[in-house]
Amino acid sequence: MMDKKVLASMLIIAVASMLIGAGTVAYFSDTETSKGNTFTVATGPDLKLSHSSAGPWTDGVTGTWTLADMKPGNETPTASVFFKNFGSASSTMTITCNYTVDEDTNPVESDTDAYTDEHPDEMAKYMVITYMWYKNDHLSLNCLTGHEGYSGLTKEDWRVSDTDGDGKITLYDLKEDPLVNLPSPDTQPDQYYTQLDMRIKFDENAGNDFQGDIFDLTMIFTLN
Amino acid sequence: MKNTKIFTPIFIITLVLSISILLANQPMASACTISLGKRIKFDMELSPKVPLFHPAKDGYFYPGSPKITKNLKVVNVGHLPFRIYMLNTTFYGDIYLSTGLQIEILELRKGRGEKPNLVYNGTLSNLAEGIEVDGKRAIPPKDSATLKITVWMPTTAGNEYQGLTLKADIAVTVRFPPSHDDGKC
Repeated sequence: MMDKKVLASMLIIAVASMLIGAGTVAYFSDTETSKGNTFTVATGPDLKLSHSSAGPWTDGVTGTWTLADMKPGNETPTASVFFKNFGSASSTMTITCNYTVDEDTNPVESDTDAYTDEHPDEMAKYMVITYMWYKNDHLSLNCLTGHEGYSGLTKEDWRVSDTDGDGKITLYDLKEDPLVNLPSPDTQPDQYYTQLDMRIKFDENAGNDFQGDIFDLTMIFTLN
Repeated sequence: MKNTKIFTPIFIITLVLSISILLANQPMASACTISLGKRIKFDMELSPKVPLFHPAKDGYFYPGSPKITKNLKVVNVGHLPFRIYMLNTTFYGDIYLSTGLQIEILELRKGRGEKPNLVYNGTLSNLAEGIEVDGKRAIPPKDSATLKITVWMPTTAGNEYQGLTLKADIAVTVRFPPSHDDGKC
């Protein structure tokens, strides 16, 4: 009787230990380390703008093209934005624009469309780009034709096309068909800069829909 | 007397089992060199011992920059076979950059024409958590395995990574016995 109890106890312990042992495995391991691996990312281009070739250079300028109390047929003077790259070398420049219309600041009864702010493209189609040159000491590019004077090259990428086929090149067209793959502005040294000269005309055929409206244009320059 | 007869063997058995289980549950040995008796040791080395990646040799990363590939040899300098078990990385410096770099690690096979074993492919940052590696080949003593490590910056990486510098210590852990090995080395 006694032996049976001992045997039973031993059996239980043996089974229990087998179960425990089944889940317990010992390993030798060794860890070595490859130390000091270094990954560095280049700094990209850093475009800065100015209203003058002498600077100061900032991340943005305001009020380059303004036309107060504009009437159909009015045109801005030729105004320029100067570019300089303060970062690492860049390859191309992209120029496009965005815009909004403000109906609230100057409401007038004769405004036949009080909701132009909800469809600013309609007004942008009457903001005609009459002159647009991208240039520096080695570059003279007419952005209305895509022709570059020094190299003699003409490229479709370099011109704003008449996307809506209305016979005019407007800010709407620039938004829809940005200038892409433009040669990048020169990087430092200081004496180099690139500029965009542009004039904008409020089309003679603009109707009463835009009376009292304020057109707010944002030109967007991207260095790639 | 009866109790003594019953409990003595139980006590002895329990004691022996407890000691066995305790020994088995000891932490894994992880010293660089583990001497087993006077002759046998378990040891691994990495080659090269100098950093694999460095901008002075590789240049700077930028979105879409060429992929940089380096080989890291895992050499068995001990007397027991092992298998690559785990990879993990410790980062220093601009740790955020680890989210912007991709890394692919392949375990090259010995045989000609054999396809390499893909160990890991993903962002560098995930290696910080450590990844278990299903090393395909047991590496016998005096032999080695090669990890082909490729790092690159995807074209979609943004400006937030500009100018950052990341340092990384890449740790390789090997283990004995090499599991699912069929006893072959």
